[in-house]
Amino acid sequence: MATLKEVKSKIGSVKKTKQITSAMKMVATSRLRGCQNNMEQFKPYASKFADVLGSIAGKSSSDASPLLVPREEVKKVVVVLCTSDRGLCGGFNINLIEKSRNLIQSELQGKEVSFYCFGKKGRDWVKKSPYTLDAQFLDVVGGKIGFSLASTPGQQLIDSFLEDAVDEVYLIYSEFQTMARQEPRVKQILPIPSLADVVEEKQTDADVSFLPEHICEPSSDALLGEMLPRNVFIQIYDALLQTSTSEHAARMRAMENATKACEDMVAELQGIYNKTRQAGITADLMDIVGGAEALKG
Amino acid sequence: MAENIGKIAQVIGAVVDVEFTPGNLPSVLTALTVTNPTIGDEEDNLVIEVAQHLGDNVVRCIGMDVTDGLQRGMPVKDTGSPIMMPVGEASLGRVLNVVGKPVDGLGDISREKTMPIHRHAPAFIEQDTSVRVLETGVKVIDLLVPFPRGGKMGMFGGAGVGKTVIMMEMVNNIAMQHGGISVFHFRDVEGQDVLLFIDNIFRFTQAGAEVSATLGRMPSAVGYQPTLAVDMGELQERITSTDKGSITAVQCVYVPADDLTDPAPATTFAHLDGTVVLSRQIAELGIYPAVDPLDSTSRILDAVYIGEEHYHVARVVQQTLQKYKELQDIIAILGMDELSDEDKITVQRARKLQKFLSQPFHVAETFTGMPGVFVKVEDTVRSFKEIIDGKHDDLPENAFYMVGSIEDAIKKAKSA
Repeated sequence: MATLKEVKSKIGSVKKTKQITSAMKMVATSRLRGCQNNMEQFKPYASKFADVLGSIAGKSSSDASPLLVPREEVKKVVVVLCTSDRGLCGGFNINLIEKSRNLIQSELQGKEVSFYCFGKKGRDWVKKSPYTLDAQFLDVVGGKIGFSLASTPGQQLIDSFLEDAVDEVYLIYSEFQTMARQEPRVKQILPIPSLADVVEEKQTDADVSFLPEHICEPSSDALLGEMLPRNVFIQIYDALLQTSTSEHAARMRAMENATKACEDMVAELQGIYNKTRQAGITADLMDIVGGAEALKG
Repeated sequence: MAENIGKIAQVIGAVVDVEFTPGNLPSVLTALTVTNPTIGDEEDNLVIEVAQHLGDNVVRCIGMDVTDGLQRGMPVKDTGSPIMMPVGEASLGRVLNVVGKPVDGLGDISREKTMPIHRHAPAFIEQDTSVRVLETGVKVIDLLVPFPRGGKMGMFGGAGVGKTVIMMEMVNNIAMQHGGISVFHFRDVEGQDVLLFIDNIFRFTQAGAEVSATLGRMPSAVGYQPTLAVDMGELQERITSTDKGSITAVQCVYVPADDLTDPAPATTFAHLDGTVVLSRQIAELGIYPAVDPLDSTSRILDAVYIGEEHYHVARVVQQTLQKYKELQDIIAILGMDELSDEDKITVQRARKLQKFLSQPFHVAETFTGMPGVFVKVEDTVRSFKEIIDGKHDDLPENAFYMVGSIEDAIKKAKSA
């Protein structure tokens, strides 16, 4: 049986843990709002961009840009992995890492894989894994994200793709669906799968019937050459925004559960404490009464 | 010598006061006999033992059977000796009561060789100090709480955690193999090695407390007799291996209200070479034998006695389980996901080890529906070594539950 002192100090430590987890939950809630705003604000731009791209793509040939042409033999693959920098957000990072592992084991079997990592957690995993780490960007996910953060590595990837140093690029990120639901997703960003797919994904229902006709100057193919790299950046940027929002949502939920678990634990320990205390009192009383009785006789 | 006869002066429950003629007072612990018509027609059918000298030629005695029907003035015979037990070949295979009478219905027992129930413990210098390991065939005990041959082991547990079942399995595994027999006479006179099973030593303490209370002594902590430590010491020191022969004792110790700090189990601890602690939490997980791998200890869990490898495996198993115990709070609050990769592996292995510490018993076949297994010490050590080395990280947890050696676990995993 645990001694009173032990139980008491344990209750104290669980209560302190609860304070921390509930504070972390509040922090996550407020940061989530900021991230979600950024994400929402970016949406109109992304959807308009998709409209324009879709309209131009309709007029261009399928091999208008080298970014559209799949390689015959795929040897070297880069995976862009978006995770968080900090833990205590439940299975968030583990799910993303699990997704990369599955991707490598299924589709990328036997290929040379290297990583671009956003976030410490993914970086740490890659370091321990047999794969190479090409680039890392720490302390960005979950905070304020500038567009250059997506375009710089995006440009690097496009350059190495065009130089034939890389044959395929995948993006792994966490899609923010609702506050309670964040799904890890895989997206191929290079070579650009097919324009139709890209467009379809970006279109919102309202736009389907009224695709505006664009008049291009100089030519649609030239414009496409400008827009396709930009599309890659947008995809990465969007992934970063969504991952950031998801991270905070996941942490909020994890901390809420932890706070609840702490409460349950305190209640249970308090029960043990009361019982032990009462048992001690009863035993002492019995000793005193027994002793007194014996002295009488 | 003429018979020394006294007269009953007072009867209060089990306490009988007897008056003798001056100068003929029997000494303390002497057995007296009296004829109690309530028990039967037999002469001298009630034995009472002198417990106190009250003065005025009166001795206070404790009855060993019912005292109803006794009357003042009845004659009481002084036997001149303590209660005597028949010993030697004649007592083998028999069941005797406290005064040495057979209660198994197999007829009278030869009293040719007898010994008093109260004797001194062997002198310190006669005690045997050599250490050898005794194989029990129970994985958790052989691995973590090795039994010394000629040593004393205690099995501590509250009500219904399985003390008696483990003890019966011990009788089955050890006694059946070695053909053990009973106690001091065989050690001292015949020079044999003896196995002693006591179920349950708490009853000795309890009886002592009752006698003490009956005699009106002031109770000590938690209502036990004030002489608890001496009573226990006098008994326990007699159970020891000497240069003549050895006694290997396995004692069950009931733990009142699961409280190991209760005076009765606490005074027993000090006399033992090792303690197997049975825990209710483990029994509640369905793991039998419910041995607590972290609370149980043995004096000979030492590389000198059991060998470097066994010692190492035992310690790593304990460390793994300890680590798991420490992590349990974190898991309860934050969930498994927050653990580092190493900790996750530790937790998984610890859960497997915990399951693997269970074992089907021969004596429990009717309850578990599984045939019992005797696992050799080498197999036990090898099996646990393979688990802690991570050779079986791929097997499901359940495969480790209620199996013998690691080969059985692999087989179970394949068949599932």
